[in-house]
Amino acid sequence: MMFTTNKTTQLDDLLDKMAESLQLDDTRYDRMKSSYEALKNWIESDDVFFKPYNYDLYPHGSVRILTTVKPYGKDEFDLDVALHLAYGNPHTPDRVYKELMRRLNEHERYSQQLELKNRCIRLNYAGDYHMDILPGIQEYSWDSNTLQVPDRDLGYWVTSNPRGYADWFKAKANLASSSILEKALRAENLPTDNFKYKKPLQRAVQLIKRYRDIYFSENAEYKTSSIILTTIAGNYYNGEESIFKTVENIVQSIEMHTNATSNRLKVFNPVNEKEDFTDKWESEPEYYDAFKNFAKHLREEWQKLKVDNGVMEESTILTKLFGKEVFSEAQVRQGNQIEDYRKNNKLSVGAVTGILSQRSSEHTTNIKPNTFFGN
Amino acid sequence: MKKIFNFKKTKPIATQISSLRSHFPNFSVTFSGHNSLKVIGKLCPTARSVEYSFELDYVLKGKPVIKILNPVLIKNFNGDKIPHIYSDDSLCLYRPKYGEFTSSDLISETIIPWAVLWLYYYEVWHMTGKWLGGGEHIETK
Repeated sequence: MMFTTNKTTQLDDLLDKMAESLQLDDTRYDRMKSSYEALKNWIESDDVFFKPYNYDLYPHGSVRILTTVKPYGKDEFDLDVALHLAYGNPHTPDRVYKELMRRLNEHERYSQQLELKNRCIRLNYAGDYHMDILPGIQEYSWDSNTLQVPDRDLGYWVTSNPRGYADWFKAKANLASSSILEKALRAENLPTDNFKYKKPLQRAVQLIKRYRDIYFSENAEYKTSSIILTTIAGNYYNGEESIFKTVENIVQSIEMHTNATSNRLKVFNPVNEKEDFTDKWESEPEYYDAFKNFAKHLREEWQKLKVDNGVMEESTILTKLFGKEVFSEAQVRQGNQIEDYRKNNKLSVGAVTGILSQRSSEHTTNIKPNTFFGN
Repeated sequence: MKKIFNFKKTKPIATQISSLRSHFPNFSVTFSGHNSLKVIGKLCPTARSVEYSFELDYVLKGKPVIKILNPVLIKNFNGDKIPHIYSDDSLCLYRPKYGEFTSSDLISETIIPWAVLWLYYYEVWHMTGKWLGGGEHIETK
């Protein structure tokens, strides 16, 4: 698809292609899904503890909200899953954690992959992904999302609501009923399946996370966490239909809330108002400063993209922000699409300055076949 | 390879000029002699591109010569030479022996659209190091 007649749409097409190359690919997603199904079967068939109880196993985190980003310089994705036991289970969350550990240790391969974390148990699928299993018991009969989960550092259980958080984020992403890319595709009678699942907010979060990974690559200690960035993005999102404008609005809102007032920006868990994800910014303000500088840099670069400097300047900015490989790959994909249109005689130039498009009308000139020649 | 037999007649300069003016009203298109024309104008391959000013000279039955004046064409980040360009810096847009352009073709429907396409691939080549527009090279075996 090419959207050359409108600058924002064309830039959005490129941003979309970049985000797409960063996300969990289909083959790995399928592999993850089968590991997850196998895990479910293994827990289900446990006669000692799990068999009699009602529970559910579901993904949460970025896989659930479709904001996965391939780790920078590594190639291992995270898959967060919740083991949700129904309300009224007589056991403590700590007991559930221990039973899960026992059950996994009974499996020859799982016992090799297993790693104990504070709230979850991790299974490492080396070089591919790791699965963090969060065991929890539903806290209230009337709320099907909130869980009590063990916190081994604290020594007691805490409240967690991973499914509620995902619902909150998805509702935010759905503030846009469509995107400018989807509209452009529809106008050309092309299939739009891809955009149904990747709303501008999801694409924006993927790009911001990727930029974060590169920005803090030399200084990983100060890296702002994904949950903070995702929540901020959701909070400030106004239903923009363009990926470019979504990012722009988010960075401008951050600027307004960090510099226009003397108060520190607080980022509360949208499904648990008592939880401030940025507690640490209070006690260790250098982390807050690192976040502010990170957001400021993105805002400044985004402003530069709005100026008509041409694609060379634009490519320099996007390469620095998101990485050479990601940018170049997206650009080549866009170029190959144009080459397809050309081969199928569907490419025209416009009357004013010859802008390429696949529309044909009395104001355009179709491009005839040619062979570039010479050295 | 499409025109092995050329039954069509050579287009007179006046016909080339009127067609260029009607397809691209913003270009300056003039006779530069009895049997030649000159075009000066701006091309912009995509909405994200800068405008490139160009100059095209054509003498009847000759080879149209099109050069980009501004911004000046440059090597890419790898220091690679610009692909598909003649030694006088004019663009190599077609392979003469395939008859993709002959004097019976309209410049407005061939050379100009190909130049836009060339600029598009030139930009992508700058950004990625790859020329995606295909083509053939003059090479001695």
